[in-house]
Amino acid sequence: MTVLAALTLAIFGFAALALSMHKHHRDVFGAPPTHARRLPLRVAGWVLLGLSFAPCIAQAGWAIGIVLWLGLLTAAALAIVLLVTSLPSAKRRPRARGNPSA
Amino acid sequence: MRAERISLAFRIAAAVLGGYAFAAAASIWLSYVLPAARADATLTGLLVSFALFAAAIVWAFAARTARCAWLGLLAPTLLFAGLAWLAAPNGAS
Amino acid sequence: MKGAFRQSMGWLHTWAGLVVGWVLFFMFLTGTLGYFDAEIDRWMQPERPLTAAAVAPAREVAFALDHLTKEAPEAARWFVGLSGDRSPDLRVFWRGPPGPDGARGKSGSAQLDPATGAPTRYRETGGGQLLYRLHYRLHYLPATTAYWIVGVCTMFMLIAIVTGVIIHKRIFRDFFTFRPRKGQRSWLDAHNALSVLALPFHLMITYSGLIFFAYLYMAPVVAASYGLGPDAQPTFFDELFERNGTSPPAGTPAALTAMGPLLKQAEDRIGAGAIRFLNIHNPGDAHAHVVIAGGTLTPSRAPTELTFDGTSGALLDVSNNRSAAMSTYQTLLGLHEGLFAGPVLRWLYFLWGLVGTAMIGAGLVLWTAKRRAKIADRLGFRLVARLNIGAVAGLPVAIAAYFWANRLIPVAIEGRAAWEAHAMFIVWAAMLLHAFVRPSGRAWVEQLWLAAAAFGLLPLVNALTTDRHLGVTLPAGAWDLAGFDLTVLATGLGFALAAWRIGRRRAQSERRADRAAWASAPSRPEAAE
Repeated sequence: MTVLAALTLAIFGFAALALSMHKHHRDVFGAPPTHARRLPLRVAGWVLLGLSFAPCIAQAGWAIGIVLWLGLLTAAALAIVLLVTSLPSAKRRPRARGNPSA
Repeated sequence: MRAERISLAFRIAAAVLGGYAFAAAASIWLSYVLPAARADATLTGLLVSFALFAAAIVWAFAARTARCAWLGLLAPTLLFAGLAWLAAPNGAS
Repeated sequence: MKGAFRQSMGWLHTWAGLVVGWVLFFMFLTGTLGYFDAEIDRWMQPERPLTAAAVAPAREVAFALDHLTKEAPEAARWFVGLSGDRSPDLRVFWRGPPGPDGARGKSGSAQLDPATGAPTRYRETGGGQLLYRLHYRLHYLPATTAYWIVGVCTMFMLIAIVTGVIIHKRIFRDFFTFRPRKGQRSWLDAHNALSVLALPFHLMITYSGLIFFAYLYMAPVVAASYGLGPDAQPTFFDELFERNGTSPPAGTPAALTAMGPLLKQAEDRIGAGAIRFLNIHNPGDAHAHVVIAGGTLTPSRAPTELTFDGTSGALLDVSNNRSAAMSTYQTLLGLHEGLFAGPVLRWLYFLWGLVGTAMIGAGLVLWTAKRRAKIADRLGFRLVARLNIGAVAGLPVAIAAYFWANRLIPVAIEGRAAWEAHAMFIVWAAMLLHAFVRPSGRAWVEQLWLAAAAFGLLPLVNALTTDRHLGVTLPAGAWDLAGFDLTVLATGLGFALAAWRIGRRRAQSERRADRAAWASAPSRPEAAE
């Protein structure tokens, strides 16, 4: 149960970090992230990753907990890579005539 | 072309032989000067030796010339070997 | 200078990876399977009872001592390994007294059923243990030779990791980047992602791998303090593990004290059910010692050890504190082995291992993808391309063959364990031959389909030859056994998907090449190989 919580936090953390990036934000929302959005997304991402550390230590103590956390990070990051890859690339979407940013 | 091959061979030799010698000498010196029981000090030497070897290999290929690679490894190797010989506890070779 | 440095590091990364890539692929794949060695052991001995009830440690020890008293009454040391999570059997081992010339005493071992104390009668097999040992012991080679080969390859891997980190641009920006179906770019993306996503694991597993045989690889460091004599290394290890508690036998016989009270004392200290093994030195002698070891497993590996006088039962010593060097050493090795991992963490270790294996495979394929346009006709390129097929696609087929052999070789055949392993290597040799003989593109697709069939049909073979198939194991909740069949099924599906997609893309590019040939007639098209 705690493992699931940690994994969920890590997945959302990586999702936020991915969304803070130009390409991935564009693929999801059609446009790159504005300055106002990028920082909160980054902060949220790192905070969520940090939070996912606590349940791991609670579940398994310091020594095993750190290893468990790193393992969950890999699994979560892989999940986001696959998710982000499955999105159709915004580059290939047809652009509205005369609107270079659509 | 042939000169390049020879130069590369020298570099590889520097990385492998020179790197190993450097790692061994420095690790031995470390195991002598550490204030720990003989077995623990030897173990510590073993633990760090591969990091030193890896660093030496990277150096050998980053150095500007093959000769530079050799000198850059030979000098610290001799230095550590000398220091180790001075620091050697009685009875150790 | 920056450009030249990056270039030389890139060169070093490519060559370090390429020269030993196939051996590393083998090591990573077998090592990864090794994380489930106990589960694979279970599956490969279907005669085992479906579920096993727990047995009290005192009873197991009694069975073990019965057996040892019968088989090796004059031994210098008895070892009793209690059954537990990673080993369903009660294991005993003994070593006889040293010979007159100082030679090591003869040893023997047995696997006992923890419920009855009788020697087990399951089919002879190398099991998952053999697969796990392959990754550092290889096969058909003397031990020291294998350790050196593996050590050199691991050193190359360390260099590949270090240079890889140095040359990787935009680690964070490209963290999630994977662009499929773009040829060489996709392989680079895959190789990068797989490297970065498990970088702590790759670094740990590689460096700790070197530490296992550091006494061999860096022998001068040991020799510098312990000399060059034949007992230099034994002395080093004795000092390191503080193995000076046991004295030589007195020569006067004395009855071994009752184990019950000792076990109770041990459990009081380290927890009920936490005892893992016993070592009894000089059993039946006045100078007998009993060392009981156990405790919760952590990455730092070393169990708590209680040493008792073997005749009086008095507690002599409780070991617990270790030096910083020893802790580091034990933790590195412990992290590598992952014996402390529970089910979730074990699957994560397995995932890490697969990521590492795939990273190496992607790197090997990337090398050919990058250079196909320019040097496809050179001997070196063709060699690499064919070896890639035989290793990346062929080795999985060979491993599946090992499991097929386990089910198909009759139980009564003498030496069947060795033949299971031979089957694996014979099939691997056949895959390598196939990779060299068939046209390159077709060889990939054919071997991938073969892997899909070899893994996907394995549960069926299991059902036809034993009664430990999914129809039995799922209802019974025997998750170890069911998990094997399910994992193998999923693996088969994965290979089928890969084979289908690559086959389709080849067919598409062949059709395109044909159309281009017709369009540019009358010149004859070059063969698409």
